[in-house]
Amino acid sequence: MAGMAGTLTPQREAAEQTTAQAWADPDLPWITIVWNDPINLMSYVTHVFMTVFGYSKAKSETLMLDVHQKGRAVVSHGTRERMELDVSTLHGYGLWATLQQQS
Amino acid sequence: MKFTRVGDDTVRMRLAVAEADTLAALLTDLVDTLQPSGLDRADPVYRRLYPDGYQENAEAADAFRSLTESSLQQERLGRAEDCRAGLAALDRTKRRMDLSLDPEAAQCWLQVLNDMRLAIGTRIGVTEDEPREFHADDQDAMPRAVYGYLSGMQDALVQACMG
Repeated sequence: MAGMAGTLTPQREAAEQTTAQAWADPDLPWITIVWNDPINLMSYVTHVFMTVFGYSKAKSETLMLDVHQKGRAVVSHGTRERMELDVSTLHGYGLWATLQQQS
Repeated sequence: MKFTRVGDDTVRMRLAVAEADTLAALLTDLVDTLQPSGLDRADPVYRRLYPDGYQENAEAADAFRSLTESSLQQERLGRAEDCRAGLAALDRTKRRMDLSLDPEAAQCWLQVLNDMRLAIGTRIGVTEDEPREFHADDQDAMPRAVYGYLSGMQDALVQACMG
């Protein structure tokens, strides 16, 4: 498997090249979205936002409530590489996260 | 089970012997599940532990998965093994056992408890309505009870970590 050894960085660049043609406007920023799910606890999701992003408890709770009540929340934005890192970090915490280009 | 904040950043986890034994058995199940050969890739538990990073773009999702999957697997296994080692080191001659968790160990337990809940919760198909009323004829009554126990434990640990 490609990710078995070594660091993620050079492989991320390779993935960028293979799929870059799929995206219409390269200048549009990327966003990380967390989706609601029935398993993750509200307290835990708040804690994860504070830990991963360094957000305040108030901001983390607002984002968590958006996930819970609206079904999703944008939790970070930036380059595609950065959002891929955020998504894989959130997957490590068990959150259901995806990235996409802002529309 | 009881979590108590001790000092600035340490959490004491106090377990009864039966709790430590049950957690050790659940950790063994989790370690088996997390082995590279442990789950079929079409298994809903697998899809929940390693979700797609992209929606509506299978090619990008596959590329992302090939970059992240094995390191996520190794991290999950490492955390489960660390928690198991912590339990194995406890003195089982006592009725109650204390584990002192520094911030890193507390974070490790939070994530491992979450992985157990994701695996069990996905298997029994939990909904937002948990905990449900107990029904003796529910074939998932036992894992449902374990799931509820782990949920309470994780929530108590989050609260202790937040101070």
